[in-house]
Amino acid sequence: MVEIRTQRISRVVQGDIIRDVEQIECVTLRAGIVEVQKIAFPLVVVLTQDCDLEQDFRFRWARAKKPSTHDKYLLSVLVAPLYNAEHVFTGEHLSELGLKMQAINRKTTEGRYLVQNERLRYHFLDFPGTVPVVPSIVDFKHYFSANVEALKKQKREKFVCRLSELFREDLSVRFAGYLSRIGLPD
Amino acid sequence: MANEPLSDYTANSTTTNVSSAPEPQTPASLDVKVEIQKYGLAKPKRIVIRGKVSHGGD
Repeated sequence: MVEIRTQRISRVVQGDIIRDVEQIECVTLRAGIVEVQKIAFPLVVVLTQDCDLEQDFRFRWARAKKPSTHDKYLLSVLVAPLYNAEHVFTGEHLSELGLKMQAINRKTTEGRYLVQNERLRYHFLDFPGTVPVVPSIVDFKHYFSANVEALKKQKREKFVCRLSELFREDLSVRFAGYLSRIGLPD
Repeated sequence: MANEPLSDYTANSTTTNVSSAPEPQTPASLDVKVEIQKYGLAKPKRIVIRGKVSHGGD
């Protein structure tokens, strides 16, 4: 079970869990009609390094002395969706997007390894009873970026909780490990 | 208030002098379900928004 913090800090913090975050898939303009296609995710977790987020916040919102450059500004914040673990086990977590994923029987070795965070692709998060979040799974193949200022604004109303330092480091290191894996030919 | 036992209410009602009135029927237990909203139950959804581009003078 993960440890969490419930106190909301105004800046975006690594490990923040925020609800109702949208990923813009594409924007098209055809014959005078603009079409915006997006995916609304019930929950996401922030993956961007916290020192980068902290510097961005300090430089972007500095009141006393504005820095001479925008060197520390981030262009976006990396987030990953949290999927309802029960939906992941049945392979139905993306059914409303028209996608069928592989089912994972949680009683088999494969499922047990996932829950113990021994499967590289997934990160299982079981929340304490004090936080109303269902057991969730991050799929490291799924991530997207969100606008820094928009996410900070959204956090005011949509902040759920934040993973404690140790547990966010665990998530971050496992994500980085998965992203930097070397795919060798079969 | 909602969590007070029903027996307290019954005891209070016996102190009034309304003997002809029928005894109010009180349930043996309160059947109140408190649903705690859980986050993360739903699945991701695709949303498409379409709008006509206005060029101001149109």
